[in-house]
Amino acid sequence: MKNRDINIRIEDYILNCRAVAIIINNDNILFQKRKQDEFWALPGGKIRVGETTKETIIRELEEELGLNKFNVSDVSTVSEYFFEFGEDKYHQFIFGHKVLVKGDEWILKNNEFDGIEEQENLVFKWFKLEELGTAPIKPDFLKEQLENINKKELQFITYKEEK
Amino acid sequence: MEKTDIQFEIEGITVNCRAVGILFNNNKILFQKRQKDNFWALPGGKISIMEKGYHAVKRELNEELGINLDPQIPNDLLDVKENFFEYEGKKFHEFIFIYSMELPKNSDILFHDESFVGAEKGKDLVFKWLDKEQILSENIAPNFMVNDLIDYIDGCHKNKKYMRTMRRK
Repeated sequence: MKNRDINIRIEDYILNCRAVAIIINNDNILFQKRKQDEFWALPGGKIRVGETTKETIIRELEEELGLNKFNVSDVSTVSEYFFEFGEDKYHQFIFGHKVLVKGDEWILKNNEFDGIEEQENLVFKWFKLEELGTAPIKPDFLKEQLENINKKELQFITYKEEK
Repeated sequence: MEKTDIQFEIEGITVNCRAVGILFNNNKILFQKRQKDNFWALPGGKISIMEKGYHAVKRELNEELGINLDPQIPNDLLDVKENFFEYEGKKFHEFIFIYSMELPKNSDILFHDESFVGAEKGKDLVFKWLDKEQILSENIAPNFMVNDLIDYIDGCHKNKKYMRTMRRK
């Protein structure tokens, strides 16, 4: 946990702000996971203090994939997500931006590949948009948001996981 | 169940999460300000930990104006703003979640022509309905929201829901 990350314990809870990239190429969308994990998630990471959500995405795509030729759009999805993980209860904000990868970046030519950040152990994979319904992706509400991703309206979801 | 506000400091910068409402009536939008401040802001306040944003707006409206709005009914998120600014010598990194809010048709709040005082003791808040001309001539914080608020009154906001980011000194 880097100390500039917006990831802070408040009372018995953890407040955490993330920015994620929605990278679509020919009806495929890019997901990542750590090799040891079961579920896939959108690429991105924690927002640092003083950093805009767009800057978070630019930094993460550079760190994890070495990308530098892409455009980040204004926010398309906002999620308020309340969940438990391990012993901890989380209050998380997720800001999703569409990212258009330009030129002939290598990631467009491979279906599955490793990230370039060695200690992170990340693997990336393109999933077909129409097959997201059955894909092992998290959080679940992402499927609904991504189905509506081409609409103009901001896709807003408040989601509380009940145990 | 009282919970703590989301406000904390990282490396000398205060991060906070605010939820505010656009209350719209008779081509005017409701604003609030503290007596000592010289700027108006949309009504609302800090989100508490584990609290939904639109619940925070409704809680604040209840505390500040005595309005009761049903927390079971969700509200649309119109926009989110990232606001980087300094206030009283401190640096802030603020997320502002803007919800559309509706008052009951018979609410007393709707019928104030002049500025009026809030209900919450010690908070020292003044409220006022501002029309387009007033929004353009008064001090509004954050100032980069003015265009969006004018668009909202003009009815063209529904086509442009997106996040604006502004770094202010």
